Amino acid sequence: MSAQSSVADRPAADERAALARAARRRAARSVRRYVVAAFILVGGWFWVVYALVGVAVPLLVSRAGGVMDEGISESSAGTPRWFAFVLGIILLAAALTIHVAAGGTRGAFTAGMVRGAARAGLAFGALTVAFLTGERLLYPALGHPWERQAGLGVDDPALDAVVTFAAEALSVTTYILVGAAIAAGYRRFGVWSGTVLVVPLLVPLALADLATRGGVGGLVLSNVAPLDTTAAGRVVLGLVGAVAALALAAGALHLLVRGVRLRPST
Amino acid sequence: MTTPTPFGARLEHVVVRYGTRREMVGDSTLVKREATTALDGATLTIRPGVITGLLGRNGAGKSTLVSLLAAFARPTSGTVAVGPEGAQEDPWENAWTTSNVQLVRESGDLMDDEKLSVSLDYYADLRPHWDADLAGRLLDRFEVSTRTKPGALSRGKKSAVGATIGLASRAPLTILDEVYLGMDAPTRYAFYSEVLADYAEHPRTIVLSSHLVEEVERLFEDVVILDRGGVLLAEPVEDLRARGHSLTGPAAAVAELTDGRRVLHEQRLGGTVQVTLEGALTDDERATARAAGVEVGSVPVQDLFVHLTEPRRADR
Repeated sequence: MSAQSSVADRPAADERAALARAARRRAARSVRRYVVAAFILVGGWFWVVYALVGVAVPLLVSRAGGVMDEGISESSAGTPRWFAFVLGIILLAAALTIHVAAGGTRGAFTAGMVRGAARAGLAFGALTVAFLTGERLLYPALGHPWERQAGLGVDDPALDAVVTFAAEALSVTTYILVGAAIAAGYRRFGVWSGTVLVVPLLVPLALADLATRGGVGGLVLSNVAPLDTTAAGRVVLGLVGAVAALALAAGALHLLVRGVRLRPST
Repeated sequence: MTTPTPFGARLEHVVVRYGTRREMVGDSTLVKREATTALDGATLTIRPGVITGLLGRNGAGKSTLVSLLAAFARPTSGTVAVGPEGAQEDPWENAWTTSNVQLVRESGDLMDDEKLSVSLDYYADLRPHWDADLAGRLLDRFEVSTRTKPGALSRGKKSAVGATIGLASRAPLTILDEVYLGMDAPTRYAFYSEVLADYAEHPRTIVLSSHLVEEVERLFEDVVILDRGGVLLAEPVEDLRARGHSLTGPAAAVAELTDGRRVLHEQRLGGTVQVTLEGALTDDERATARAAGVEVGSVPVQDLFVHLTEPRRADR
């Protein structure tokens, strides 16, 4: 019953390398699609709810004759970032095993995760700008003051939109990757060591928050480490810091995922 | 669709340990040691293009061994190589190898909270030889809807999905690790005939790990028996069958024929006795047995497996 004689010749080394590259591309693309699809579905609902809250609360306060001290974007500092962080944890937990079982490498998983997170980050950046623009228009119309404490403090609204978009896109991508890295840490090292690893893995988040003056960390850390420089200096430092945070998060994810062993299920 | 070259595998002196434990040594020093040894110096060749049965008692290391072939895990020491003859490579983080090795585990490795179609699409995207028509036909045969979430499937249906993935992947090395669990008898038999039919049409290497040895031994061309983390034997199934034979007949006649031979098993019913002996009989011995009214028979693989892995025997 031996089947050896009825099959094609085995591929040569260069052909195997080409097949490996194609396999890696396919695998990374699948992860990227999975991440993007999850963010469109679950992230879409998040933004619908977030926008409803952003409109409903100032309207209700106005109806009640009150005045808002600050916008929802300020009072709920970093909510989209933490949402993205949690989704990063869930996505790795849900997809890594099936990815390896379907023949994907861990390296392709990380590549796909980074690309998917980057796309989600761009979408979140655009939606954040849209949300802030909506607040900026809505609040004066309802008689509420609106001022933005967070962010890199660019006066020109158009330039501020561009800078906010870039800063939020980089930060959200970082949050997603750190979430996934934390899940990978638990997978690889178990409960105790995985929990210990959470602390250093929060460093990229703190750096992203500090650099972009956003999120919970931005509000807290900006008082500890104020940036006494020009707007241009703040933008450059902010974006460079956000890129560094993203690179740290991607590196951590790569290091943690590449050694994950899937133990027998029995 | 062309049939890819079947993959074989080679393990040399493979040790796999899981977890860690702390142990106090002589001078009150606390040292960290790896706790469970799943494989202990396993050396083995899996021939390409044949169906190999992987047998072993619980905890023998079967699941660990197959997880190495599919790069689910890495050995603590030793080497693992997978691929066609003459082009075998370490499967760890090797995209060419892993995309051509399909391990189906009992757990199914599906996205439990998504519709089954999402998991199947994922496999289809990554598997270069995926046969969607076959997957659809098998799911129809096993009466599984792709709109159901795997978490809501019974154990048997989930196993059927695993079997479907294993066959539809058409991977040059397909490993089915206890995929029959929870399947009812008709589904299991349907699965066995699908394995044979697809194997005949699309030759590849299949490693089948199972506890239902009696049911699947007819599929095996080679057999590997693991015992306590080591390879007890790895050989063609015919060689394994030749390792033993049974004698059934009057107690006195059988006792005379078994003199000086290792008896693996003995069963008595009144004056009749059936013994399982190690090794083959010569033609003369067969003739003598027949003349004494003793029937010479073959021993099922399952019986040999049980005898060979008996704890008392392993301790000897």
